[in-house]
Amino acid sequence: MRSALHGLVPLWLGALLAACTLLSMANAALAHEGAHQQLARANARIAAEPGEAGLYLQRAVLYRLHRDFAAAATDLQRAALIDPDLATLDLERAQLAAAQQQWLDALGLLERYLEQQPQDATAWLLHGKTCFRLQRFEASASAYLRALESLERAEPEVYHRRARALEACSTRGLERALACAEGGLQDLGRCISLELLAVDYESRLGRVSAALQRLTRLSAGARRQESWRVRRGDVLWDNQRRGEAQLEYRAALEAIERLRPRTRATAAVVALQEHATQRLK
Amino acid sequence: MLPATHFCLLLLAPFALPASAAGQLVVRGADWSYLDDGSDLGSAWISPFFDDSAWAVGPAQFGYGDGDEASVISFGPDPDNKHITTYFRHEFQLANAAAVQDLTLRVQRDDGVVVYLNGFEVWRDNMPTGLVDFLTPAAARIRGNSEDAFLEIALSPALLVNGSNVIAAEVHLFAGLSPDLSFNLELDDRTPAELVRGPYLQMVSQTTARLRWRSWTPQDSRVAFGSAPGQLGNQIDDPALVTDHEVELSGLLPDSVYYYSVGSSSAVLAGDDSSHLFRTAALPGSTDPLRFWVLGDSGFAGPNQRAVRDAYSAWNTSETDLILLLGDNAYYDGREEEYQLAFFNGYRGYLRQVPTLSTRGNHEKMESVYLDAFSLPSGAELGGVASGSELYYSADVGNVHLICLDSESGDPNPGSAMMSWLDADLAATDADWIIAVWHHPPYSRGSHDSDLEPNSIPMRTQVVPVLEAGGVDLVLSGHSHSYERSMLLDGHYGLSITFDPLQHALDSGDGDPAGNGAYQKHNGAHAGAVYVVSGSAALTGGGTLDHPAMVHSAGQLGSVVIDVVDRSLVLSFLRETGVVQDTFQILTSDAPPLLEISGLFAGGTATVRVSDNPAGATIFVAYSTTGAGPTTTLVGDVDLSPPLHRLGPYLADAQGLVSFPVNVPATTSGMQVWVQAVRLLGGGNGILSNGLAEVIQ
Repeated sequence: MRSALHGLVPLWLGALLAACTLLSMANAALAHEGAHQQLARANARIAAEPGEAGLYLQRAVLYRLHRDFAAAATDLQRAALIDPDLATLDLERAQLAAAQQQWLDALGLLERYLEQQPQDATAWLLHGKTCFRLQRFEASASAYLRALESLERAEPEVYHRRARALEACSTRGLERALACAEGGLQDLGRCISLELLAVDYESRLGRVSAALQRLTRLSAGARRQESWRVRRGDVLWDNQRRGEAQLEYRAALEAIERLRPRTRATAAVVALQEHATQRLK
Repeated sequence: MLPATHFCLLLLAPFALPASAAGQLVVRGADWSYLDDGSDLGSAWISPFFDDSAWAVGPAQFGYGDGDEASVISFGPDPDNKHITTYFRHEFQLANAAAVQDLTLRVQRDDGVVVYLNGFEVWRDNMPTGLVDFLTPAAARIRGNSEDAFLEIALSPALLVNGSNVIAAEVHLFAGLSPDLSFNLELDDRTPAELVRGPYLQMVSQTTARLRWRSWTPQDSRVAFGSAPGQLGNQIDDPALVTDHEVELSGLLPDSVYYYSVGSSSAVLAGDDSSHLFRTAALPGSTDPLRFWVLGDSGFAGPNQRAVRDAYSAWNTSETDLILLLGDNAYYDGREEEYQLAFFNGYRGYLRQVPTLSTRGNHEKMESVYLDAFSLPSGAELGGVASGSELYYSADVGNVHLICLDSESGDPNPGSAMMSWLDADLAATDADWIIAVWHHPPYSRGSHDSDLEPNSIPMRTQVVPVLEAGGVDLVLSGHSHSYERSMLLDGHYGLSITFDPLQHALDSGDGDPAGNGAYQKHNGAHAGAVYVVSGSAALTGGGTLDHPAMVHSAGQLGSVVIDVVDRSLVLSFLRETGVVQDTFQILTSDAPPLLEISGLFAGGTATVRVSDNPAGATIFVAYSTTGAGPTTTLVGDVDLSPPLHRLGPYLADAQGLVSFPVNVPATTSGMQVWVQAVRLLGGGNGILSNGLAEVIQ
């Protein structure tokens, strides 16, 4: 009967539309388990499939995250022995080196990996961080730019890191950092962290009017004004316009007095109040 | 709250998961009957009329040896000689089989499989041709990622019938020594013009709302909306041909109910009925009652998830304003099919009426569709300060300021983008309540230990101090698959062994109004917050559940319900059984209580009235007949001279009022009395009322 039924199946059904769901076993291992359970699970999978290089790579990630660097290195060696061409081997080696602050080693591995995988944003991000730690700020900024080009969604943090790298560059660092923050705002739209970064650069470049105008725009309509007043005061103070700064600090203290008691009593507002008061002495 | 008529409609809404979701006739994770005893069933078992009532029943994925099975099946007594064949059957209903034009089967198999639909073989993979029986091994061993792959094939819909349909499968091992077995299956109706997903609500503000849905084929988009079903007089069209539809409604009125339908210019796909409606947000400063339903680690579709969901449906008798998701909304990787099954199918009835906000879990990494699935307010569309990121953001809901942080990949160091935004956001809010959410708990000894968890430690050491300085009231996390909740804490940023209740607990009671009494926050630099882990909306397990900062720890299924009424916040842990296992209340107030006395006549009954309190606040009244003090007490210097006489405690009612009669002795005419009230706060603090000096008439 079975063979007769099978005869009903058209031959074209044999042409499968294979839709392989490449479930990341590493992520599955990082599931709803503590460190010991995750490792136990990874061990079990390796025991069942001792010839799968990818499983050792995944366990190496677990070991690295839990800072067992020697075990991670051993697993990476095993993975390399089984499959030296495993795509992300050099990236994970670089991650391990970076976790141990072996930045030069990480850099070499990343450069080799990125030759093969030039669109890997994760690798470019690590490259940017590695170069920054090695004080190669131009290279760091370039790497973050490549990351931004490769990322499907840019995050403010990448612009922050690129700006920090540019800021440390010897040539026109602050101007380029400010341009980076502005570029991030163009890409992302409203983003307070990049706006405040821009205020900081504008202030340090002596572009006081630009910084104050930006702060005026940002604080328009805000129900609470005290932190904006202090920021204005700080820009003026840092640019040696202390009289005007003190007017802003006084305005901040007045705004604090108008806050509801619950808000006024928070530690953050108390610290702001102390800062403003100190600047008035 | 909704008016009564709307409220009734909400209760009638179909919250339960349908037998198959739109477009999906058999979903991954569906319940199947199975036989795993190694029997030789011959061929009768593939018939749609075969009686499988004696078989076991459980949810897919089935198997053993991989650790990712929802139902672990038996391979027999000998691990070196496992049963070669295991049998599965699943029945599904179809109202109109003729309407199905495009049928797709996807199967996960390890090692070989033969699939039958209504008694006819429709596909086999990794099996020899010809007759197979219960001892026929698979053609080859399946290894590595291929074990998890879903193979896809188009089927002829001609085998489908109206009413009951049965799909059956037999899974064969390559050998008795094979280490593992896996089976899962889904059957999709991809006939055009059917909804795949939704409609679901996102980013509902006072004047705007977004409706999203997915269709099988590219279509234009149309949303109609109005004040009642059948009266959808407003219409928004988008001519772009897409499968993922997102339409923003604007110009809405605050705190108003709208009914809607979604579809294309040629057909309505859903809505224009009593179950497709939403309410816009109230105006800023509103103190209307709010209810949030909080789901942590809810991403395992199956009986546990359904039990937690259905317990809330049965228990809840009021409008839900927001569903708050604590991450890991779709295991394992937050991929399309996982989100479809665990989230969009699992909570379908709610998602078309209640907006969601979510934080990202560790199972929603870069490859996840998390950011595609949700529309999140990176540009301060719901209030707060614009973060520029959908991974961390804030929103104002009534008198609650919600802060969502990214503990998975956000940089917690000072000066980072996330922390710079957080500082600015905290400095901008003047809401009555601040609630922060992220995935990795700062305090937990559930399935994850916050002393060891790489993502928990920086949240506790670097983020919690900033939030406490900014006045946070409540922190919600998931990740550990348990419910754990703390005392009213402040300043505990170290390992659990350093926790000292005398130093870190402002109120070490249970916060339960029926127990030790509500937590009462005073106005101070560090007024305390409660920390809750709620990661058991679909699964439980693990850990010692003995973190010393916790009042209550339970490794049980459930969800959290938060009710905010003005200056009162009540949090309840609702078990999957429908029982509320834990409750606590936090009360805050800025203003001192107002004391008034009337009818103070000798031999009469005076009325003492203390107002301007949070609902449920604990009030004492003290009086003296010797003078106006001052006298130093634990709650401050009172305007009374010793000896002090105490009346109470009294609990303020829902309006924050305490009022009680006092019999005044007949012999006291002409006597002077000094009176003052105190509202108790956490940590032995209190707020004194005005003092009164009265002469008894």
